[in-house]
Amino acid sequence: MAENGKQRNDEDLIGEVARKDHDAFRNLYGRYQGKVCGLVYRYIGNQGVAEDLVQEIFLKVYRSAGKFRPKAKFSTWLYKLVANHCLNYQRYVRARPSGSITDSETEERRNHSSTQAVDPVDPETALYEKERRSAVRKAVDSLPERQRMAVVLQRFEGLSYGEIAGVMDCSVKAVESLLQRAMEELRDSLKKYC
Amino acid sequence: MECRGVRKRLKAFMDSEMSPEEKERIQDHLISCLGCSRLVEEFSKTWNLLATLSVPERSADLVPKIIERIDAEESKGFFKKLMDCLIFQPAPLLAGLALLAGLFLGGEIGNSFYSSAIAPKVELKRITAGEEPFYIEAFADLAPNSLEDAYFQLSTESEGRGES
Repeated sequence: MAENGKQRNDEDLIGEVARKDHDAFRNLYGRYQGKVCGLVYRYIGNQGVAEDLVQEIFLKVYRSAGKFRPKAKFSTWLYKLVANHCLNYQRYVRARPSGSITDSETEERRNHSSTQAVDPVDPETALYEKERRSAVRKAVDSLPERQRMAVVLQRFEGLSYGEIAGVMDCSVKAVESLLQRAMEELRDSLKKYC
Repeated sequence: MECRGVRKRLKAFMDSEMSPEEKERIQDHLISCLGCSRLVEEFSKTWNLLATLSVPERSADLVPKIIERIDAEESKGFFKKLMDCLIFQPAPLLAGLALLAGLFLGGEIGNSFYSSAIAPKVELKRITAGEEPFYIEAFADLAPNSLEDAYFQLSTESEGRGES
């Protein structure tokens, strides 16, 4: 999608990446790194793991640029790649019983101690906010992997049911079912904070 | 519409992912059903709560690391291509040939083992007194004009004449 006449669109850029153009790759990375990082982090919940996955995803983008069909939308192709990579990672972790990949409390401490200002006037509120964020993270982490992916794609990427169906390779009905069940589970887990 | 049917579609209703007619039917139901409308409110609050799932600041730009990995892969491109041509791509064909060779070799080894150890031996009739009997393998091809062949001819002839 060209923003102005001079800027190349995503489909043109990926074509150049297929011809091993590193500048085109940097350009594409710059456009989508925020989206991809956000999506992966919200899905995985661990910053270190998320960054590793983001690296692997963009490497996959570079390697499989030649497989992109010009008729398709680049963003859908990218989301599909991201979703599959995250889901595969989740299955890999689930198959190895070596403990949780997310430590909500540790992550909350690491991610928010420097980015969130502590309110000196109302520490009780600050504590409640911290607890609430942690509860939300835990609730999302406890969702089955496909429900979690559907929630993240809809809530944070604003994809429609049809677009999510295209990304996750399922029917619109299946997406609706995933989101409905996720909604019910999240409501049960987070009743206290609503 | 009944509550059970409505509650199954509440998320789709909230996202406007349904036909206008169905949406209107659900809206009509919600006007008169306190339980279902309360559920919509809870869903909505829960959905808004997800906004607290913020993304931390990213560490250093990942592009240099990615480009480094790409360059590393491409630098061993020639060697990799050579390995691909010599080993990885013909691997299925090589595996098939190895299997065939194994079958052939196995057959040859088995055959020689059978010939030397398993095949039943036939004791030839004693031709002259005092001579030790010797054995030939049944069904083995006898060299023409060999001693074994001569004995074999004699014994079959004598059997044909009814002699012992």
